[in-house]
Amino acid sequence: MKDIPLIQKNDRIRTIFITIGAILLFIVSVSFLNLDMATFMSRFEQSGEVIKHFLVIDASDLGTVFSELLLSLSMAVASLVLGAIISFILACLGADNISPLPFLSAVIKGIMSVIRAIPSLVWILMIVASLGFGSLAGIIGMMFPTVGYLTKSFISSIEEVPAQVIETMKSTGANWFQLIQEGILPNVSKSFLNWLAIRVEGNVAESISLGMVGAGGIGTLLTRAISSYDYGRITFIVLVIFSTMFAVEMFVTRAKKAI
Amino acid sequence: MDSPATIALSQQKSIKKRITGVLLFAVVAYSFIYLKVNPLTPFVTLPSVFSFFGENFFPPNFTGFSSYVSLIIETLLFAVVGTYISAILSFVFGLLMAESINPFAPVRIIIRFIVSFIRNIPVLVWASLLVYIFGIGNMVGLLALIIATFGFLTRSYAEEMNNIADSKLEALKATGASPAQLLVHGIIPAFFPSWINWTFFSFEINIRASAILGMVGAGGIGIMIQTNIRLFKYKEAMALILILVILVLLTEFVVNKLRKWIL
Repeated sequence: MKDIPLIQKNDRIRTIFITIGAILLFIVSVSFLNLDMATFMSRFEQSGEVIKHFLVIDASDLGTVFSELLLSLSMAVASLVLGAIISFILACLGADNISPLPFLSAVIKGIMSVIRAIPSLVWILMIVASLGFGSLAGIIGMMFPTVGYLTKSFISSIEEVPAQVIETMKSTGANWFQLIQEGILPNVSKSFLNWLAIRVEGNVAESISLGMVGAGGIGTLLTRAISSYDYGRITFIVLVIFSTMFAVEMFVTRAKKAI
Repeated sequence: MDSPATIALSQQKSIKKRITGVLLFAVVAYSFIYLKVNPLTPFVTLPSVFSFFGENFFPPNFTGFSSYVSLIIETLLFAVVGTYISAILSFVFGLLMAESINPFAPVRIIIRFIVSFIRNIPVLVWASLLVYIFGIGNMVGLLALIIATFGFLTRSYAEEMNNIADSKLEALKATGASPAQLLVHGIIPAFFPSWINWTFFSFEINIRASAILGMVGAGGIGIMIQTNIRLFKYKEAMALILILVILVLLTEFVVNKLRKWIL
């Protein structure tokens, strides 16, 4: 009896080809990267000592940590809300199927992909350069990546609305605002909420990181603790960050179910 | 019916929804009050931000381009190597975390906890902690990238693996397939498309992440952007930012082509 191959010959050749290509790419990348393994390994041997230092928790500064955490969270919420409003307007103008000016759609989509290509922290550095440090710079700095992400997501949700819905609305003589309010919104509100929920987590993580480049919030406290070798405080702040992120995730999952 | 003239389009405003709405509004209002920022101020400030950009960041100055090339390559390579290593690690840990594959509940719970711990700490925090422990160097950047991607990928992989229909695996088991055969002929083929998708997606994220890791001293293009901005050399910084934009957009394009070719 002849064996029946489980995988077709052509597929197998392609798979082998892709696998070899993938392995080659990895080897070439590693060799070009010039990783300083030697220093790393020597530090690695001592890392046990350093990590041992981290096994203390210094919660003496609870008040400051908490108020800075609140600052980070507030910046995340504020930039999310303002970003969502802008994104909603841009998405209504930029979605192919309802855009009042067709050329606007391409323009908005293009600008958004450029905005998204710039990491949030670079946005914050740029805004801080023009406004100086402070909550306002933090909010505006995080608004850009938020708008970049939400506009794209909102547009893709709006464009999924069936053409019949829009046509029906138009044939009843609804104007653009009525079309959005009664035709689009009921169809997309659920996916909009989902996008916002995903973005909440992203914004909280970013508002923590932006403190590390000096824009205030709990990240600033962490950087300060690191530079002053304050092990107990570092551990405490990292744990606070972890619990916050964890709580936000739980809260978002809960809220999504409730709505 | 008293007034047939107006028919409400939606009648499902329950009390629960109202309460959620009020609570959300309170949270938002409190945020602005705590920050002492008027919600309208950011909008009012935007024009001055844009004019500042126009005056100081443009036109970009590309004179140092030749010295940037090595940074660009380094950023790219970081993303490639980081994605590879974390994709392999995540595959193993994804298998261990997926309910439909790993029957040992305690192992699943422990791994779930570790992954959630890793995932819930921002990359930059990981990077600065690692720099602190291991000193500045590109191994630290790579390690931070791997840790961050690992958390994200393991969770996505495990969820996809759980989605693979049990019936398919059961059918294979019924034919007397060994665990290894189950893996090669049952799980991997069904999982392959989403494996490719998630891995490519994380590669795109890694390009951006490896650019910012430089800010805490872990190599890549980010450190040059930060240094230039700190030194008020905005036009040079703009050149680097534009290079980064092109790099990211190009990656997105290539990855899309590659994805279509493979799948």
